[in-house]
Amino acid sequence: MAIRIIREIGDEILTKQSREVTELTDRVSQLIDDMLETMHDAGGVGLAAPQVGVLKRVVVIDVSGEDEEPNPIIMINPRITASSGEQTGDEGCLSVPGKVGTVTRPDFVKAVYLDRDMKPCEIEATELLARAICHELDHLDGHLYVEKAEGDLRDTRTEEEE
Amino acid sequence: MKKTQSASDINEREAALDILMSGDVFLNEAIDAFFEKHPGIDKRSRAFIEALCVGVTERRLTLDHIISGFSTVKLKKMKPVVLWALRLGVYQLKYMDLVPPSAAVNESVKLVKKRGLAGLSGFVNAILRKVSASDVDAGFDGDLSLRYSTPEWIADLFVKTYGEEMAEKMLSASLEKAPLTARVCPGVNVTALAEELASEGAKAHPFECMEGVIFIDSLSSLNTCTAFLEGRFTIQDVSSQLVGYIASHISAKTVLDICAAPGGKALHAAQVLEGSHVLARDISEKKLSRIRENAKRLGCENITLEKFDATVFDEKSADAFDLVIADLPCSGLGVMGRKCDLKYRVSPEDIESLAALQKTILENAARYVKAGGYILYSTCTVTEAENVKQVENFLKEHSFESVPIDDKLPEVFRHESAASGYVQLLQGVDPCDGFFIALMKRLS
Repeated sequence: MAIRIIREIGDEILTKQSREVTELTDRVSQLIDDMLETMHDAGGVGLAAPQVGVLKRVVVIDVSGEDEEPNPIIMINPRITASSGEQTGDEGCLSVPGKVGTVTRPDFVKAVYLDRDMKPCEIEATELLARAICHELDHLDGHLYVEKAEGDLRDTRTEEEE
Repeated sequence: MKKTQSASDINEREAALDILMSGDVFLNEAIDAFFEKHPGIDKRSRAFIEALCVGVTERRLTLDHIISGFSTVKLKKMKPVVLWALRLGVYQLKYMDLVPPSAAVNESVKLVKKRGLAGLSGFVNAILRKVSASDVDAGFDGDLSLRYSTPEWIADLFVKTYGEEMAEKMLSASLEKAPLTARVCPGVNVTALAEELASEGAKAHPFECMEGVIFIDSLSSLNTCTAFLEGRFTIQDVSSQLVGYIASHISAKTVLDICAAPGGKALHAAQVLEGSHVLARDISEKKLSRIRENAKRLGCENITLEKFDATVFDEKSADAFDLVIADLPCSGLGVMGRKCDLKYRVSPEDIESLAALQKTILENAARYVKAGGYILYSTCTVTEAENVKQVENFLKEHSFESVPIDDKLPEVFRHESAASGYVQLLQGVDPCDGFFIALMKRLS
């Protein structure tokens, strides 16, 4: 296991389309382990493979609270099949450090994906998990939340000092 | 994705809506009750919820004026959820620079939908978008009531009593966030205490006009602050500390605080009057237990607490005290900055009935004082009826004389009237809350 370097906004790779994973190789397993470790280390709730420089359709998400057991979801080749409702709230991204912006997302999404054993799964999500799924899947298609933010991005640091 | 505040599961604006709609209770009580019921909310969310509730409440008249300018529906005819969602939205648009306008509008629209009024979400959306697009300056030149969101009769009363310029300063100060003020206990080194607080991440700076007073900023919690728990300081506004300050210049062995809760003045007197004993009375057992806790924390042993109704005369206390502290129930117009919904609750009739209540209690106080003893009368308001007139009437009807206090006050508070035995301090004019204090001596 290793913590990988998180690519930041401005890095070309974050704008590129990722490719489907066709078979579960050792390299993919290693990638997943590293992504989990990198995400937890950075205090993130989600991380997509392009953020660590790998153009594969792999994301990891963990929305468990600080006091709860970690509960990571590993998604390979994920695809949103249904969404509804709206939620407007602040979003940040490990690739856009120190910033936060307001983004409107669906309040409910349904997605299909392969788990880390390549077994087909389906998930229904609301609130924060729905937001995280949308955010991470955007990365796989080369999009960042900053394209969708309403108004300007704000500095998290000045907000904390208040 | 990175974890952020609003992405957590509490909807702050919905929480604010719930608190604001909790009916006929004081806002600070409604806020406390909500956080007690929802203990998991983190510090930043709490701060935002509180800022929304306090802001919407203290600006309510101004917000309503703005809304009515864009709505063909009268405010009184609107459903409460719709009206409060609009107030929340307009407040964020006009007074919260950090909230993007789109979020201010969208969140209010969502609140209305979520409360089952989807049919009215278009109405809310339309009004908020119009407000957002307009540059309604919330200045309202010349109209003090609208500009400072204060009922007209209060603004008029201030102007009539103190003149336009002073009234404006007072009203403006009533919208400022009042600082957290601490009284440093006797024998504690102020500089060392300030340094200790700084090491805990708080900012503390001494008040240059009065010894033993510090203002504290960004203290995370009193309940984890060692210096507070060890009783080296306590929370008390400058104006309220003046009571103990004046008392320290009087020689008194037996002291009665006739309406003691929350206890700051009684404890202050107990700490500064060496060899004295303070009897602190209050009508509420619940409030007395708070005084008891504070007395314990401050290590005050020369204080006794007793549940007693100040309007009832107590035969046993007749002629028994060298000093009676009478900090009496009042309209509170000097502390509007600390209790942001007070201004909507007080009526002109209340001032009359409070003045009558104060008169009744002062009657009793007069009989508790020994010949040659003192009454230290105070209120946290600025109306003449409750203050200077109350004292004048009292002196007319009793064999008491006023005692000059110019030698018993820090220099900054020595107004001309101090030589005649009283001062009226005004928020925004004096460096403290609005407050009245008078010293009277029973003739031998």
